[in-house]
Amino acid sequence: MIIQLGIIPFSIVYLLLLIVLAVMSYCRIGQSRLLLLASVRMTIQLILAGLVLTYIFENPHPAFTVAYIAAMTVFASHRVLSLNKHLSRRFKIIVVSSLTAASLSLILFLIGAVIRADIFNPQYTIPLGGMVIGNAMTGLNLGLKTFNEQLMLQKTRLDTLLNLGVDPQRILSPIANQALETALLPTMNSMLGMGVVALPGMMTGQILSGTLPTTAIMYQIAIMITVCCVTCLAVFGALYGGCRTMWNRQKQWCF
Amino acid sequence: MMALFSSVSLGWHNLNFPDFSIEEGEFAFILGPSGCGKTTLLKLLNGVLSAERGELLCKSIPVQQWDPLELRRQVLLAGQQVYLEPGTIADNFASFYAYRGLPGPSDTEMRMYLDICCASFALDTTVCEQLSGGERQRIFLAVTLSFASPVIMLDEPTSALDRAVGERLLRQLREHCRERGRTALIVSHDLYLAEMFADKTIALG
Repeated sequence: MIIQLGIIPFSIVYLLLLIVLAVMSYCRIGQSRLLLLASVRMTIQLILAGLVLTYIFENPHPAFTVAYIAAMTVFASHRVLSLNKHLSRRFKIIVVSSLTAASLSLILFLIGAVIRADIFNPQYTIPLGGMVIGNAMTGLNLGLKTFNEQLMLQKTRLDTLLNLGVDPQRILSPIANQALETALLPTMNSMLGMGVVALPGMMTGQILSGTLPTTAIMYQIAIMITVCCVTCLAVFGALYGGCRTMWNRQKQWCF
Repeated sequence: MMALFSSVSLGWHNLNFPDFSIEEGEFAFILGPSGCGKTTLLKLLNGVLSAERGELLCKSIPVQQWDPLELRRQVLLAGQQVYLEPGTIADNFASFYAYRGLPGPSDTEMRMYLDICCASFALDTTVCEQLSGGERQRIFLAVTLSFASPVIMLDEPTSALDRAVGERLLRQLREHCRERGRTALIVSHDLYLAEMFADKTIALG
């Protein structure tokens, strides 16, 4: 049985932010406003999420689960596109399609085939779906950022090889591969240290709520592998599909 | 001789080019002040850019009707910006040929093209660490030249070279092109070199 947090003891944790503010002030890091804004936004957003989830759990309905997953997907897509405004319209469509297809198919697999729960059960689909979608979003941001940076850095290489009659797909493949590798590295590094350096968040939450460690471990392993796969598929689909929008029928660059 | 390239009222953005023709086997220079469209013209000739006005023919076929990759392999362009990969000279030849899906040239062939471009370095010379900007430019030209395309276009090939080396390079290049029946288009701002080597000049601006 988990210990319920009282409002006043819980509020004490915010005092830790004063320590962060003090260090930032000493180091002359001008991000105090961002820290305060992030803390306030996080608090409000989580309170709202908690209220919504409480209502959904008390009044379960497939429509609510679907709507919540759809909202998370839309938000994640918006977040990725807002950080990559320069992409062409076709590239953006491919990014959103890749994020959606990879996330939804892996949520279905994880909930339906591995955990064997009802896919519309909000207790399982919403939190696990959120982890899958969230990690796909993070992977895409990292992959697209690397891809765009390398395009800028390798402009001379791109133009030189195009002038030599090399196919644009062949020119861009190494850049896409490097971006995919960069997107996957954080997840794989996390897997390497998991359970050794610290217990991961989901497992910690489950143990705190009274779940047996053996059960919590299995959930954690399942979600980590799923997250690794969704990152890979979402980024691969976005980059390899999106690459094809970067040249026209005359094999000229259009970016 | 058949006209290899011909143009009528060619234009791109705010650039308008004089009508011109280039015959097969010519060693032609494209001259003009900075910003007049010399590099743009080269890119129109190999289809990296599309003309917005007028007509541009290659072997009597409109450029836009050519298969783009085939055109660029026939009309190779060595741009003004030098690109070489980390590694040795031999590694660079191998890498560029791999991009084209071709087996690499033999050591003899590599040395021949390096000699033409006044870059007679050992094949195991590391390009990034051991060579200057001018030397890297000559290596880059040698790699491009080695593809033996019927037409070779060079954008400011002597920009990083001193006058003596530049002259020697162009003299050897012209000799090579005449022996092999290759057409060369050279963009340059150096009137002296054009007067010395050009069969034809196309003046822009």
